[in-house]
Amino acid sequence: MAPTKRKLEKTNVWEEVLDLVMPYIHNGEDQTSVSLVSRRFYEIDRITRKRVTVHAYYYLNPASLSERFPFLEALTLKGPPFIFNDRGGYAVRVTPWIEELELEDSPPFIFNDRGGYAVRVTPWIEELELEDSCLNLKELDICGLVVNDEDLKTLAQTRGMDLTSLKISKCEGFSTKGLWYVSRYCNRLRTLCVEYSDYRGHQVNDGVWIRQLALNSTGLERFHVTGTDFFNVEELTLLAKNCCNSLISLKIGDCHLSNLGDAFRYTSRLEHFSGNNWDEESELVGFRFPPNTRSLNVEDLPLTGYSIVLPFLNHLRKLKLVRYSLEYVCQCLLFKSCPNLEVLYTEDVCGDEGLQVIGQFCKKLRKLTHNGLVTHVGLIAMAKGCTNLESLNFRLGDISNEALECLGMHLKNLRKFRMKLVKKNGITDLPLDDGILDMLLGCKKLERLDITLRYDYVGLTDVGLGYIGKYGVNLRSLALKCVGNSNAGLVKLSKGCPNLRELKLRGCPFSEQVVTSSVFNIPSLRYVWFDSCDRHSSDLERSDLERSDLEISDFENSDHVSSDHERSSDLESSDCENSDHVSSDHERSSDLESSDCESIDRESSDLESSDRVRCHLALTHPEFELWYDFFQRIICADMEQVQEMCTIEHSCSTILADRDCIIIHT
Amino acid sequence: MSTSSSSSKKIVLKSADNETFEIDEIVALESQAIKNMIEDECADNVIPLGNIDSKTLSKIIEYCKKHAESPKKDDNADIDEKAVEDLKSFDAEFAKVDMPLIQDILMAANFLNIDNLIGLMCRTIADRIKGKTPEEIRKILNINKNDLLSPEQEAKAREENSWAFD
Repeated sequence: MAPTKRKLEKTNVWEEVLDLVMPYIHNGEDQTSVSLVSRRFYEIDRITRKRVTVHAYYYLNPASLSERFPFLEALTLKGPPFIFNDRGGYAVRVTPWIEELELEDSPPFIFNDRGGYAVRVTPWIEELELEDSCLNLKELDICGLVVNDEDLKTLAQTRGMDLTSLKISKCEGFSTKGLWYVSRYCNRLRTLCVEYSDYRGHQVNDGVWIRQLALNSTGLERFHVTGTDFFNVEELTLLAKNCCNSLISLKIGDCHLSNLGDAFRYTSRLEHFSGNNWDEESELVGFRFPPNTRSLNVEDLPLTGYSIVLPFLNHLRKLKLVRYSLEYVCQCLLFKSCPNLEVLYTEDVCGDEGLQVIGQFCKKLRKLTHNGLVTHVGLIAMAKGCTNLESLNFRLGDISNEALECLGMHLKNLRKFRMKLVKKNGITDLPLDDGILDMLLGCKKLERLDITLRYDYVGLTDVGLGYIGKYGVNLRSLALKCVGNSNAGLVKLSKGCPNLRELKLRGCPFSEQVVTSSVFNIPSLRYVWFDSCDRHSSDLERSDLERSDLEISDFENSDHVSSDHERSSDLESSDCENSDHVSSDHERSSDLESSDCESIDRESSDLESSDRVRCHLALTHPEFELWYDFFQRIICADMEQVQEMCTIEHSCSTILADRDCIIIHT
Repeated sequence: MSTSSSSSKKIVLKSADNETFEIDEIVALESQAIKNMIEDECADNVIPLGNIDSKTLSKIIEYCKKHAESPKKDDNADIDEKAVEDLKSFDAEFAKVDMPLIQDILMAANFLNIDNLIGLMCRTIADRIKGKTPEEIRKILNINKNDLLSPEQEAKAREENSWAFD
C-alpha cells in the first residue's frame, strides 16, 4: 500500500513541477516532446500552451484547436509556403484535387483572381466565433491566407474586445472596409499590423478606417500598414496624437517624410520608424525624427537627409538603407557613427572597405544583410570585428576558403548564413569544401545555411555536401543551388543533418530517383523543394524559357523554417515577411530583416527563370511510380502543369483518398 | 535556540526530519514566505518546515546565504561585474545535482517563495530536456510508464504536432 501511495505522490509532484517548468520551455519541439511523455504531461501541455502556430494549409480542422489547447493566448495561422503574388505566381489549377477531396460546403481552398488558388481563413474565424473556443485568445497573426471583409467583421465583433494584437500579412481578399470593423470593435489593440497584403479588386480607402482607429484607440503601441498606395496624413497625425503616450513603432508605406512632421511632434515615445520617400531638401527644413528613434528604415536617403539622421546615429540599433545615394565617404562615415547598431541592412557601394569600417566600429552587430557586392577580403575583416553576429546574408563577387574558415573561427553565435556568389569567372579558390567544413566546425549553432553558387563551375563538391551532412547537426534549413557533382553528394548529405526540417535543392545534379529515396533518410524533414537540373543543357533551357511565359519564382522570399524561439523584443517587432511555414515556434523577424530578400535576386532573374523551366521539364514527364512513394510521405510537392499529367491524375487521387489534404502546386 | 552572540538577528528553521538550522535573518529574508511571516510577526523563534527534508533545506540555505551576501542589483546601479559573474558561476555549480533533488529544491523553493531559485531550477530542468525525445525525457525525469498515452492518443497527438500545431 505504502509504495503505491509514494508513487502517486511523486506523480502529483511532477504535475506541480511541470506547472512551474512549462513557462521555461519555449522551443516548440521541446513542447511537442513533452506533450508525448505521458498522459499527465500531455494534459499539462494542453492547458498551459499559450502560443500555437497552425499551418492552415495542411490542416483543415479548426475545431480541434480549442479542443487541444483551450487556453491559448496567441494563435498564428499560416497559409501556403509560397505567396501567390505577381512575382511568384504559381498558376495553380486545383479543381481536380478539390473535387476529389469532396470538401464540405465551404471549402477552405478557393481560386483567386489570378487563376491561382489560396486558403481561406473563414473556417478558423468561424471557430473563434464560438463562445467556448479559445477563450483567452489575445493575439492573432494571419499570414498568407485569404481573408474576407466578412471574416474581419466577424472576428472584430466577436473577439474585438479581447484582442491586443492583430497581424495580417501577405493576405488577400479584404479591403479597408474590413479593416474598418477592426478599427471599430478592436478597442484594446496594442499592435495592429497590416502588411504586404494584396488589395487588388478591392476598395482601398485608408482615410476612413485609420480615422476610426484613431478615434477608438489610445493605447496603440505598434502600427504597421504597408501595401496601400494612398496614405492619409491627417488621419495618421490624429492617430499619433491620440496614441502619443503609447506609440513606439510606426511603419508606413509611401509617404513623404515632410508630411510626417506633425505626427512626429506628438509621438515622443516613438523608437522605430519605417517609411519611404525622402523629399527634396527644401521641404525638409525643420523636420525632425522623434527624439527616441532607435530604428530607422528609409529609402533613397539623400545627402541632405544625412544631416537629419546624424543626431540619431549614435543611438541607432537598427538601420535599413535602401537605394541610398550617399557618396562613398559619407557612407563609411555613416557606419562609423553607429557604434550601437545591432541590425543592419545595406546596399552600399563601399564594398569591402565598408565591411572593414563595419568590423571596426559596429561591434554590437548581430544581423547583417549586405546587398552590395563584397568579397572574402571584406568578409574576413568584418568577421574579426563583429563577433556577435548571428545572421549574415551576402552577395559575393569572390570568396575563399580562408574567409569561410574565418567565419567559423570568430562567429560562434552564427545561426543563419546565406551567401550568393554572383560572379561568373575568375574565382580562384574553388571548391569551397574545406571552408565549409571549417565554418561548420566553428559555427556550431548554425541553423540555416543557404548557398547559391553558379552553373559555371562546381564550387562545392560531393565532399563538401558530405561535410554538411556530417557536421551540420543543428541545421534546420538548408538551401543549395548549383552544388555537388553527382548523386553521391546528396546521398552523403542525407546520412547526416539529423535536425533538418527544410531542404531546397536547385540546379543540383541529382536524379529524381536519388532525391525521392534519400530524403527519407532524414526523418525530421518536412519540406522538400527540388528542381532537377542538367547543368550542361542550361543554355538550351534558357532559350526555351524565352518562348514560354512562365512566371518567375519568388523562391528567395520564403523561409519555411524558423529556428529557435526568438521572442520579439522592442527592437524586433514581428512580421511575417519571411513566412516561416515549418516554424517550430514564433520567430519574429525584425523590421529590417523583413525585406532582406526582396532585392537579392534583382538582377539574376534569368537564372531563376531557367530554374523554373528545369522544374517544368523534369516534372512533366515523371516516372510516376517513382514519385508516388514520394507523395505518400510528403504532403506538399511542387509541380508544374499537373493538368498535363493526365496519366498520373488517377494515381494522385488514390493518394488523396487517405490524406486529409494534399496540395500540389501546379 | 536563538543566540545573541552575533550582532544580527537569528532565525531557526526546522526540517521535516527535525533537524534545526540557525541562520541570519538576512539569509532567511531571501524567502518571501518567511519574510512575510516575520513581518506579520507570526514567526516564533523556530519556524517548522514540515514538508522540506534536511538535505533539501541545507541546499536551500546554501543558496540563500550566497545570494544574501551578494550585492543586490537595485542597491547599486554600477554593480561589480565580478560579483555578477561570481553569482552566475555559483548558480551553475549549485544546479549540478541529480534530478530528484532538483525536483525537491524546486518544490521547496516554490513553497518558500524564493523567486530566483525557482527560476534557476526551472531553467535547469528545461535545459536538461531540451532537444530530447519523449522517451529520453521519460528517462531523465523518471516518469512512471503506467501513465503513457495510448497508441491512438499518441498517434493523434503526433499527427497534430507534426503538421497542425507548432
